[in-house]
Amino acid sequence: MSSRGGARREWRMLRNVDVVLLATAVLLAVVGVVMVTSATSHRPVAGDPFFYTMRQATWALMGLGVMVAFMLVDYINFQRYAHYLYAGMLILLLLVLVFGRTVQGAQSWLRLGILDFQPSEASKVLIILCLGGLLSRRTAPIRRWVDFVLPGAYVAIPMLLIIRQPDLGTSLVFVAILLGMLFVSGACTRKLALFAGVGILVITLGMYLHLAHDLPLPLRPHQVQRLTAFLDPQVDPLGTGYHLRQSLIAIGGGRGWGQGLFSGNQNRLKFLPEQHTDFIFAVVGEELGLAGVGVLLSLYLVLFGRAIHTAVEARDTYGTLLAAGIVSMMAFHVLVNAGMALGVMPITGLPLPFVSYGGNNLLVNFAGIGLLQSIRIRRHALLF
Amino acid sequence: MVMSVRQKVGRRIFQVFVVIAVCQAVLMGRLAWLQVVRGAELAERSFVVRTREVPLEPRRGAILDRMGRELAFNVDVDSVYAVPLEISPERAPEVARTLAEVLALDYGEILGRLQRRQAFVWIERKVSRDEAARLRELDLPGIAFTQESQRFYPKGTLAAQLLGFAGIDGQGLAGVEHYYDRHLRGQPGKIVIQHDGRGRALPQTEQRYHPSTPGYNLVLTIDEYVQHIAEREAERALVQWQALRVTIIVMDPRTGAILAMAGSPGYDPNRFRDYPETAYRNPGVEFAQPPGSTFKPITLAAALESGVVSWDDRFYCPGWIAVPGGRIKCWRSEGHGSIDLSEALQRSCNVAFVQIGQRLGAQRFFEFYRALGFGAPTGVDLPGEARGLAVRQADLRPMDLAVMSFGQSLTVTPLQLLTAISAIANGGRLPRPHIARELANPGSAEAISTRMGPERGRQVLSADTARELVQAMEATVARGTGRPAYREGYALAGKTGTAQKVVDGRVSEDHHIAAFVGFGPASRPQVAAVVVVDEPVGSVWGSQVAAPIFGAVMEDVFRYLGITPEPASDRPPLVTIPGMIGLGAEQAARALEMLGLVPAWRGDGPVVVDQLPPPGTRSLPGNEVVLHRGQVAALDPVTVPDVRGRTIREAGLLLNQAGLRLQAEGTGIAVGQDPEPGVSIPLNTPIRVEFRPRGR
Repeated sequence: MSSRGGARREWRMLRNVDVVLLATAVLLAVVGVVMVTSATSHRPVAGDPFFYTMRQATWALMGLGVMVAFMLVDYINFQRYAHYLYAGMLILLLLVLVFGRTVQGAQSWLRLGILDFQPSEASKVLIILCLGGLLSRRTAPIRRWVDFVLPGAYVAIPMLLIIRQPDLGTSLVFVAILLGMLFVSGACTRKLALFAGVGILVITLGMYLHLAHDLPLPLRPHQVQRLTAFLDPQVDPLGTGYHLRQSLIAIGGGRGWGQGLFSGNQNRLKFLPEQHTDFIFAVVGEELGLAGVGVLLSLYLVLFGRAIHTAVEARDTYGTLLAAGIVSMMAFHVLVNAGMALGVMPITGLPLPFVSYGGNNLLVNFAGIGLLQSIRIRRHALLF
Repeated sequence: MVMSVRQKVGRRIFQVFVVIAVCQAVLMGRLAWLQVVRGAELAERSFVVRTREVPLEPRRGAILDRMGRELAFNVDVDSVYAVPLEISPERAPEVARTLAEVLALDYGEILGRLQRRQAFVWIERKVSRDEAARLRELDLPGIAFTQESQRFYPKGTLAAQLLGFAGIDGQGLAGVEHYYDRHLRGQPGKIVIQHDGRGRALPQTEQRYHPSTPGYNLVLTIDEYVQHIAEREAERALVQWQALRVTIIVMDPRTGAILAMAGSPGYDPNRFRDYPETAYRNPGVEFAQPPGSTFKPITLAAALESGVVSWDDRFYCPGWIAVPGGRIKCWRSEGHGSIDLSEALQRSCNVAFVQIGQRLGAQRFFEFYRALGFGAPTGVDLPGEARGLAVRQADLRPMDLAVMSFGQSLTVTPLQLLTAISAIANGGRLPRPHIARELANPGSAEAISTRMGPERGRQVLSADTARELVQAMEATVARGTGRPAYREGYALAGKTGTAQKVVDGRVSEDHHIAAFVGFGPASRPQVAAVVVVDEPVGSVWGSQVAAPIFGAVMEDVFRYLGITPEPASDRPPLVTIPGMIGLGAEQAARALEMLGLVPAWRGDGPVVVDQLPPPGTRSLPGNEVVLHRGQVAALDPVTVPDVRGRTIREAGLLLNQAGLRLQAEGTGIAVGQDPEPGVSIPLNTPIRVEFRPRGR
């Protein structure tokens, strides 16, 4: 095809962009910038109250660029080069284990020039692209036990590398992605449920043995505490339980309409720990109340709905699986993060997509939106 | 039914959406539960977490004498505290070093406190003015001040054993400070401060301020000037007789109001820690000792009331008397010969009193012993009162009764003795001794006063008996052993006493107590006093040691109270006592000398900081004026009065009363002053006042 015709086709395709999906993602990113401002402006960094705001806004703009890039690239290329991507991902994860910087007990950062790069974040998208490739190449549905082995091992290898960092949250995201994509690919529901059940059982048993019988696990003590704190916040009220209690107090204090933006007591008074990252949901709950959180969760639901729609309309199985993987990833983040702030999920340190402060995750989510748009605008490609 | 792959994928992906939506709904439910159902509770908890209470010490009530002169009050002082969370770990050593230097504290200890993860630690309570000023200037991070009040006893050692003292947290530990602690203390208040998660106070948030309620002011029956007289004489006697202790109590026998209660040696309650605890004890009520012959009027009263003796009875004293169990000697070995009842008292004849006691019998002796308040606390509003002992009635042997008749083998407190003697002076009614006159609420304009008034005393003796005893006691001073107490122009009544102390369980020949108890004027007794000199050296006789002290005290108290000598013929004219506060000591002395007044110095320092009686009081020449010396800088600043609109004379008077000096400019009416009214400035500061002729 001529470059001119190609350009015209691209243009036509751009008219198929899912505006609702785009708007929802941008809106969430804006909410993110506002909430990060509220969570940080009262504790200036180097005298600058908008230190985090500016950085988050910059990341969001970069995210839009990443989204456009992923949108313009035909996603089918990722299927084609899935093996290379997989190999690249493993290399990155190995690199970070060797050269990575340790932040808050996890060795998960690579310094790239002026940017701090978090391979585990990137690997969330990469595993979707690779696992999608693996599953879409199958012709027969996954019915037998043995059919679970390959995808399981395929995801388990990078996941184990991530656990080594240790980054428990991200490795659980991998599990969610695997389950979500296997389910959509038509795996036997009963066996999948059993598979998931056994997985949860193993993890629970592992934790129990670790706590009760000192089974060696690649986890720092504080991570174990965070994981189990939600079961009984009173155990360590000023340590791990403190986060949770403060979160609950903050959210409870929000009541119906919230204490007002920039006016949350627990947030502004620095009672809330990690208020701009892991516990930003509590800031929303405190300052915007039940109404604000309702709107926020509705935005996510709209986003997931559009993504599901894209999955259904995708021109090929790979597109469907990618969309399903992205939904699984994002929804898992939302549910675990919110559940953590609400005291019904373990504290795993997963960010709230688009809203929590953090560039890597923002880029990954925008990449996901870009992928969804890429799938969407090419849904009729077979008709051309 | 066979589904296409496409349909199946579509269905499954829709199921994924449903699962997500359900999960979100569950989270919304949890959210609603937290925010709506438990919202109020959690919001309240948030308030609890964010607030901190800073207690506000209430202002302790002042203690005043009966004329409203301050004997104890509170001065505001600074206490230094730290908010360790506001001090960065790097700066802590530097801050600690500075604090240690300025406040002369241990560096390691201070550093330790600064490194605590706390929102509040005391550094030093109640620091001096200079230290506080220096620290304020240094403006150290995380170091702040709070105003606390410290008890101050402006008159130093005056009435110390009576007043007691209050500790660092304002709790009364001794004396009336302890007895009336509940009333003086007040109710603490608090400031509820909101603070952030790192313990820092939030300046712009609501602070709930619950003011403290100040304690009641306690007005005593004590008169500072009478107290001064008593202490002066007690100190003089202590030195003169090298005594172990001298106790003097002055009381109004009609009401039981205690005008003075002196114990020498005393102590300075401002520095109570520098003294042994025994110095705090008030000998007037806490020590019971044999009264000796001062008890004879009691025995006599009982005998007269019982009708076993009459004034016409005569006794023969050969110098000794045999009683079952031994012989009792009279103090006068050659004996008193034949004497009547009044002479037995006047000459303090032991032999006669043994016989009186024998006629009385144990039963009636103890009846009156108890009726006159012995063997039980008087109920005076002071802590630690002793009850006094006597041989138990059941164990009483004839010998015991014989010696108890003249005040041995029993112990009484000076206050018990004075109270019983006051009953004689009071027409037979036993007054209830008391020290508190009223409690005044300092907060309200109309003082809610709890008047702890005198209750009408119990009639323990008939009025006739009392009157007759007064005459006998008057004769004792006029002609008998009490003669050294005699003062020209005053009809004093009293009784001497020389008691042998009980040392190590036996009556000692070497340890004596010289005492005198009495009252006056005999025609209408208004003042009663007791003087107890414990272990005098040189003379042991109550007549030689205690009687002159009693006379001196009574004369000065009478003059002060305006009880004129009889006859009041060639009385010199009264003079007006000038204001001398702020003057140099020599200057003040000269001013008094010119008027024929005698300065009585108290304290140290170049400047007169207080005087008694106050300026303007009319006084007889020869009277003492108590001048307290001090450092001007050490004093509380005084408030500048408003003199605008006053004449030069009036302005001068006003400023003088406030302890300031007038620096007049111009003539006429004051139109401006510098400093302004209400400003606090050091004592003795000249105030520039501009005067202009009236009518312009």
